[in-house]
Amino acid sequence: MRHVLRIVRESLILGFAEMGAVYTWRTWTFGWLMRLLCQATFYALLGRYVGDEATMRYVLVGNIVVLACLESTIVVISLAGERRTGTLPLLAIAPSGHLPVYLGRGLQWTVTGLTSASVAWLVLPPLLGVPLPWPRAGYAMPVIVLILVSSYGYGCALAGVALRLRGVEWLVLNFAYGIIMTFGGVNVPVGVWPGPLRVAAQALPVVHGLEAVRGILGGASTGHIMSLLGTEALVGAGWYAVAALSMDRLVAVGRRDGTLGYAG
Amino acid sequence: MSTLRVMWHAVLLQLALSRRDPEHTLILLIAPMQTTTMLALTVTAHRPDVVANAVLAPGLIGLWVAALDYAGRIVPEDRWAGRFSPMIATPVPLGPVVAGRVAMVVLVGAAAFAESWLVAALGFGRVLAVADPALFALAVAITCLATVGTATLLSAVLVVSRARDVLQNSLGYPFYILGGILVPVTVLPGWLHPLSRVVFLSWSAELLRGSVRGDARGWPWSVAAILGLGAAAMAAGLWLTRRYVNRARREGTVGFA
Repeated sequence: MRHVLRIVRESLILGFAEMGAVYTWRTWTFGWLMRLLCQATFYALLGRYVGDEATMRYVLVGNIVVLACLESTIVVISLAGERRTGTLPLLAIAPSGHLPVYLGRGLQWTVTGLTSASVAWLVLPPLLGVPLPWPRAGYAMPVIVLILVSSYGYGCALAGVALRLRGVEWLVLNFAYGIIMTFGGVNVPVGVWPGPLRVAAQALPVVHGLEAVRGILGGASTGHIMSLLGTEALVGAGWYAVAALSMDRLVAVGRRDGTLGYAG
Repeated sequence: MSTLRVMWHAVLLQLALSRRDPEHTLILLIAPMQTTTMLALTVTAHRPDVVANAVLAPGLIGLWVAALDYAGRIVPEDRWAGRFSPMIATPVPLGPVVAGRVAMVVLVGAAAFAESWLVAALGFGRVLAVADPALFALAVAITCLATVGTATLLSAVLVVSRARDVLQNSLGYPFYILGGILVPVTVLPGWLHPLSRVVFLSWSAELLRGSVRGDARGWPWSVAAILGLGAAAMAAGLWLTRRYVNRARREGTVGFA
């Protein structure tokens, strides 16, 4: 356990040092964060334009919660960066084994994701005239953390694709969260999609967690919410398992044929 | 070599480079998902009058992504690939080369309009009929031209700026809102209207929607505004490009990656 915590700590230090090369706290706040707030606002305005305040609130809540997913899936870019710089073998020979190091490579995005989603949760609803019911809205914060964790696993699993097909990391990232934005119940309920899509959407992160968030805001029963949270956790665990298998195989094959260090 | 010939060769160069880079198809991946998201919201809200907004917006986003994302990468990628020094050493100015390469990428971005239309027709059974096809074609053409101008300016600004990644990551959604590409500018707070008017997307979005509905009043003004804003951006972009090329030559930083 101490080893894992140390890897988490070192990963966060590395991740934030990497972020520091691109962002200062000012450019992050007034550039990146502002962009995320505008993204949620953009869709919320459409909700208001085509519907009423309730539609706007529905769309806004979905688009704020999905920010946590958006940021945590950026782990795809961080891991693909290791491939590009040829440092995957160096990470693979870590005494703890490759898996915790690889999985920790984008942890900084979970911290920024939580920050962005929390700021949006506090600021946007009152600013756009659709305030959330407090203190119930506060109970949704731990659910957003769960969504963040399950989305991070989803991002790690898809990073396996970006590590194999080089030069496609931005396509994979945009596809990853684009699918959730479209079919994950963010803007319209999952129920509006045809049967097969509805079934496939159940395997996506965010879907059940977001339903739980909406349930909390709407005053649903604790039992119903807990079952949704359990499903979200299960979905997240499934994606972590896929990520672990994918990375194990990547390293095993890379060791055997010497391709792990290829920068592509 | 004439400027147009330079631009044509730049188009061919970009075509050759884009064919090797799958990420240049990003726009075409995003557009269908965005159309689906926007149309789903519009259709479930039973607002057939807003279908045109949902179909046209991903096309405009495609153009803006082309301008912002690819244009900003041209010079830095050329530097990394070692193409920048020989490019500077040629007797043609860099500005038209950048503009030509941007034009190629913008054409790919414009394909998002067709994709979006197809998603609406095949996925939702909503065939968007264009009431005034001639005006629509004109609107698309001048919007592409204005995008090339804006992209040339953005390319220069992003090269000069130390915060290239920050600007590239940040300048999307604020401009989608200001440009009224999905929700008309009139719905936005009044204090934003003057800002919207200097974003060519706001004129383009209104003109495109007007041409689809067949009620585009005062369209010559819109055409003039789009072309004027695009030309101003192009002039500023060419000036800034010339300036940073001269500075790089003077300070001996052309070969810096």
